[in-house]
Amino acid sequence: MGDVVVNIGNLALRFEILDRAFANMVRRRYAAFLDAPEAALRGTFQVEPLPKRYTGDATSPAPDEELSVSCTDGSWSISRGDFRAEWRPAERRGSVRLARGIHGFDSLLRIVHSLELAQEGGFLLHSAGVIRNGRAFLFSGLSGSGKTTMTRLAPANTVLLSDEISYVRPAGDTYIAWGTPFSGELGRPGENVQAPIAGLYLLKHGAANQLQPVPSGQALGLLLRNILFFAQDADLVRALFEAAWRFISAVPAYHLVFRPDPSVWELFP
Amino acid sequence: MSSSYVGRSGAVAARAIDGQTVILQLATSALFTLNRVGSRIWELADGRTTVDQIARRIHEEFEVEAPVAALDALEFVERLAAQGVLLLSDAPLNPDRHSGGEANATNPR
Repeated sequence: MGDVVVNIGNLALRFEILDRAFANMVRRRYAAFLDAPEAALRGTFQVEPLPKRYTGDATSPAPDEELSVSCTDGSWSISRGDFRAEWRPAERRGSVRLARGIHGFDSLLRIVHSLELAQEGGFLLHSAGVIRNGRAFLFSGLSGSGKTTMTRLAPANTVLLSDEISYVRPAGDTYIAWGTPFSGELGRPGENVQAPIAGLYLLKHGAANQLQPVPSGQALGLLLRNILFFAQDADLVRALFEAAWRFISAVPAYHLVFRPDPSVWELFP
Repeated sequence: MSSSYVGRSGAVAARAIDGQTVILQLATSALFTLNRVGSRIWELADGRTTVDQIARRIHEEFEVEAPVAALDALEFVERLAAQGVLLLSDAPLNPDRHSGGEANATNPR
């Protein structure tokens, strides 16, 4: 058995893993995001890696099962083809049975973080994030919009937060972006660092590099399309909507029309 | 239908921002963005105001000819009611009951 604390965005979860080899795999995967101050610890999960993908009993995940996230009496049930979990925030306890392999564990992390972040006005966003000169720039869009391209083109004096999923938390009147281990095509995790968010940039390919301010109402709609929603729970959806509205009220949003070459970074001194 | 009372559904989240109103339907995550006139109709849909009364306010406040305002307001309200974002009722809607107001509402279609 091995204990692993994974700390993303200064929100840490302890995993009591009933298998040493799986625990070592988790440590390797999240090497830059291990350990945390006690104050950051949000709860503890007991993790039971399954010997096979499907064991056939009622508490094991079924291979073809689609993601389901639901809340009953304050307890979240989260299941998919490769894991089945419970998360009880009030008790700060959870449990998960999952197929071997990091994919299910990675998904569980994203889901639990999104549930916890929503309680404090934060969210996970489909966006690449980069820090330059002490400010975080978030580049958002669906697959193929250029998130990974923007990180590949970034100059040497930038720090990668993620090329796929940004971690957004409010801090007073501003918002902070934290690095995450979640990667897209780039295939490497972000750095475990943070910076205040300078702007949200909604990606569009074009012939020339250009920033166009986005009216707030439109920006709110576009932001909502890129926030990771895992549950149809009405209270959660309402909380995410309010979080998105506050974010758009505090952070400028632009369309970034860009040509995929390094000159685009001249717009971000 | 023009004498029906119009209320806002409680099954949505909505915010006004820069003259627009963005509405998110909680059950489906469907998004609606209303322009200035639509936002004003949304404001006026308090459950105690009829479609006719809303149309008159639009006519007065936006300098739209009365028949056009009446037609546009009705069409707008019916469209959002069909989506479950607005509620239509033959009797005034209790603001506190909008979230469960479907029982009182009539479907315009």
